[in-house]
Amino acid sequence: MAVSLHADEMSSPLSEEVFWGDMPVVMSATRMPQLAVDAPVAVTVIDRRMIEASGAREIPELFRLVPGFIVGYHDGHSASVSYHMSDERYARRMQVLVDGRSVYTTAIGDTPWSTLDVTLDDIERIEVVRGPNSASYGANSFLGVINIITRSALLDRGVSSIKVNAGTQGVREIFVRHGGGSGKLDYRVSAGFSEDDGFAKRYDDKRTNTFSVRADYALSSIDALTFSGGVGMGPRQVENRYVPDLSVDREKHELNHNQSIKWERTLGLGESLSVQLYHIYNHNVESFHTGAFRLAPGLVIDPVSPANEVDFGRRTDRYDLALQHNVSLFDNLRVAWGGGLRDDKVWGGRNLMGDVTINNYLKYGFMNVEWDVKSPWLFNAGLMVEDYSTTGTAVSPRLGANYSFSPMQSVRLTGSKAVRTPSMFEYATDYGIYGAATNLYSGNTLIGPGPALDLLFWGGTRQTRVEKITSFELGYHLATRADSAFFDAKIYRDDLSELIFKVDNPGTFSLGHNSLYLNCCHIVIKGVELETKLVVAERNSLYLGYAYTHMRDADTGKTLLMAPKHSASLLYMVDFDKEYSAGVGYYFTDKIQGWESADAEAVRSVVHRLDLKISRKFVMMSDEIEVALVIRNALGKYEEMEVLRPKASFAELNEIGPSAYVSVKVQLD
Amino acid sequence: MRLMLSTTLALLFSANVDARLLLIVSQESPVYQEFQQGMLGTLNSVAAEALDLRTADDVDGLDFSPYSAIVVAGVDAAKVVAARNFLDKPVLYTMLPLSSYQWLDAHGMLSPQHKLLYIDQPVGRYLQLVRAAMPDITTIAYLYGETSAFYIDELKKTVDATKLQMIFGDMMGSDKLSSLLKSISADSDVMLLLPDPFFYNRRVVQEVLLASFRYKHPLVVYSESFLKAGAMLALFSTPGQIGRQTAEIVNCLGRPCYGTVMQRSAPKYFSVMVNDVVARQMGMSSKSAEELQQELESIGTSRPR
Repeated sequence: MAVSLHADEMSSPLSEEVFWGDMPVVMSATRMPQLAVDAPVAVTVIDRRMIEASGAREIPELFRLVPGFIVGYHDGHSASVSYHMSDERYARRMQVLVDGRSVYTTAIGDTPWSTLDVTLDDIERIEVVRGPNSASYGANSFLGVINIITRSALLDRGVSSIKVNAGTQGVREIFVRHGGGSGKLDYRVSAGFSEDDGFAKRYDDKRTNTFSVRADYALSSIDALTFSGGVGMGPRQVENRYVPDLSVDREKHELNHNQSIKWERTLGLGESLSVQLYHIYNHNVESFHTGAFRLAPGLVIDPVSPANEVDFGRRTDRYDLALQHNVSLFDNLRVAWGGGLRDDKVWGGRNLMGDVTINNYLKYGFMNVEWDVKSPWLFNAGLMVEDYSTTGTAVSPRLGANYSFSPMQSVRLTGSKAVRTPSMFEYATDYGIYGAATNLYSGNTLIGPGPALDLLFWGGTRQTRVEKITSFELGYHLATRADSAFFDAKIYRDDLSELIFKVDNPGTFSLGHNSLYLNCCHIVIKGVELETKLVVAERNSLYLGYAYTHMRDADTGKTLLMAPKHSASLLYMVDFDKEYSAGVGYYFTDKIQGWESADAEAVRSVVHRLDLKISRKFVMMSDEIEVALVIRNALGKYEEMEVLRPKASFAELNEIGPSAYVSVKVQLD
Repeated sequence: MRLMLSTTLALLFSANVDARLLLIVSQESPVYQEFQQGMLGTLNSVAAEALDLRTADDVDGLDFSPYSAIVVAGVDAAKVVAARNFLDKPVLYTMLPLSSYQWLDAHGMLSPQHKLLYIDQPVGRYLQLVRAAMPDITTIAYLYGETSAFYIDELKKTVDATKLQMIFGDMMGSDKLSSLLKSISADSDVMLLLPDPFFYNRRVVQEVLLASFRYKHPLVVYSESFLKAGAMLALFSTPGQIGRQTAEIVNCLGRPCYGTVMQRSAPKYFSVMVNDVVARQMGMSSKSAEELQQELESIGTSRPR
């Protein structure tokens, strides 16, 4: 045996795991590729296998898996995804990125999930940063960041597929994808049609068409150009949620489109420069006519508001130019820094924002530093400075220290501050149904003009300031080289101040806004989150998530229920052999206060949800075919988050019942 | 033939009714389940029926006397068995990195006369792979850390028999990793990495992959996950392939076999994988993995001397 014997010099024998282990890397925590064990905050990765095993039809459903996340539906087409607290149908405190493009709307502050042009099959993985991360991604990275990473076009070269879903609740969907390329150019086009009936007893059907394209072009050996663009659009039924006649059932149209171009140059070892310019456009067309509304039926003199045209339309145009430079200054010091300019132009219709257009200009700069001081210590520091034309300048710092017991095991302690700028809706809304003169009637006889009625529900004062959060996280991460198994735990304390809520504006119900968006509130959230992925047997993986959340009003000390005290998720993934695979998803959510309700009675009960999927792959005439059956919510009905609706007028609640769909996917050879 | 084999194994495992074959694995994990499947798929039925399975943490108090032979899979299992010093029965250590076997041996934990099937590929096989995939290549850079320095002498001896040149880069000893990679890249065409926990440490993987991309130097590695992370060529044995070869050795215990069962054996079965995406990015037109594998198989295995 001539192999040299350095064995004695080794401190311990080499494990066989090195030969078959994985290398877990996350991108989203610091804008730099890092091992999960080195990241300063907890990051959940939803990979392709989890997406497929979950049986999800829509992207928001995937976040039920993530510890501390709250997913709800206002109606069949309005999903809300939030972390640690969920007080409104619009989850405004989340940053949502698609390939680095921020997709939340400045108008409302929510994410237009149902018209995103990304299909589930386009997604390579989703990284969810659980905790504030303004230091990396700026405003709205307040409670957490969702980073959706789509597949590189290169990976889809020569791949064409058709997928058809059909099921109960009117589910009819078809998705077509094709990837191709020539030489240095790779491209992928993806198109989809989707429709469903929403909730069983609601007027909330939706129909959506999507189209997207991505092209990667290698300009040179060190330059890469990526273009992406897409459109999502379609009609949605909107049910009247107020007093009958004051509003009506109607249809609205949503349109989303975006274009992005990114140039990236590799400058050297560990050094790259990128410039990205993108535009997103979001347009909701929602106008309708109400009937005449009797304000005091039964009285001798009855003021009646005439038929009225209502416009809830809104439009957001966002242009963003960003530059990022990643560089290793020293072997143990990596930096990602950059800056950008953004123009958000928001228009709100007459009944939403008084037919006014607002521009919100932003200048921002950021720097993230990873300093591997000396093993076992590693420090992550980050800073973001933002200057908004509407709300002024904000600074968001973060500092974290990781102590590694081994390359696969670390403890982290991170403190961060972050801000959220108000949406233009919170800033300047003038939301209401009526602003018109009335006529006085006696019975059916017009007797003359009545008082002006200015029935406005919510208002923004243009004085709204940024929300603030100070967060501390103590975490532990354990990874294994083999099988991607890991365990992560964190305890945290979030101090949220200057929170913007609707505050009652008493005595003005008929003559002004009955509530105003104000920086009123101070909340403290503490909790524990656990997450693990285990390989329990060959080709059997188990993902488990758990969150304990305690929220209190810092001013009154009152315990709040804007988050479930306990929540848990389980996803069991099994590949029986090369043909059959299955997924079992179980989700538990403790009771939680309904949206837009301060009423303690409006509490949703405990939810148990079970989703099942079984699929079979086979080859027919050289094409790979996958047939799947998905049974959703197999445990029976539960109430969705929206419990505000006046039950006297609208008895039907948002109830989700069991449903099923069959999916057939053909991958053409 | 089958009758003769069965009879021989029956003599080994059934000299008395309790004679059994014991398999001790380091842990229950998919890696070891794949290993067991590979083993059971090849193990003679007599041996398979006589097989008992234990994990390394489940042998305390176990009576070893009924076992005519012991198969020990993995480093943790080897540590447990080594302490018992079985000189009176055949023991086969498998699923072990060669350096770990020697580490255990050097610390007096093993009996050198026992058989060993290690999981490291013969280094000559990597050189053959480079030659087969990239015939125009002249210089290979071997980047090593503390553990993988183990392969240097063997590489030096093996490369002499080829037309390739080889340079060496000590990544652990370098104060500035990026400078090392830059200078190494300037003097070589391909980079080779062999198993080392150092590659799982901070920055190292990213730095090496980026250097490979930046200088269009294909990276040849030892694992599938490394290949997926951005290397271009990988050569390795799967746990199932090691299991299969383990079974073949067990089938030969206590009887003459065709060919010689070496005291120490390198993996006979192996897999080649090509990352086509990376190859395209590199502007390389590598042969397919199947072609390369067939080519290497036709050359035959190159055993360490």
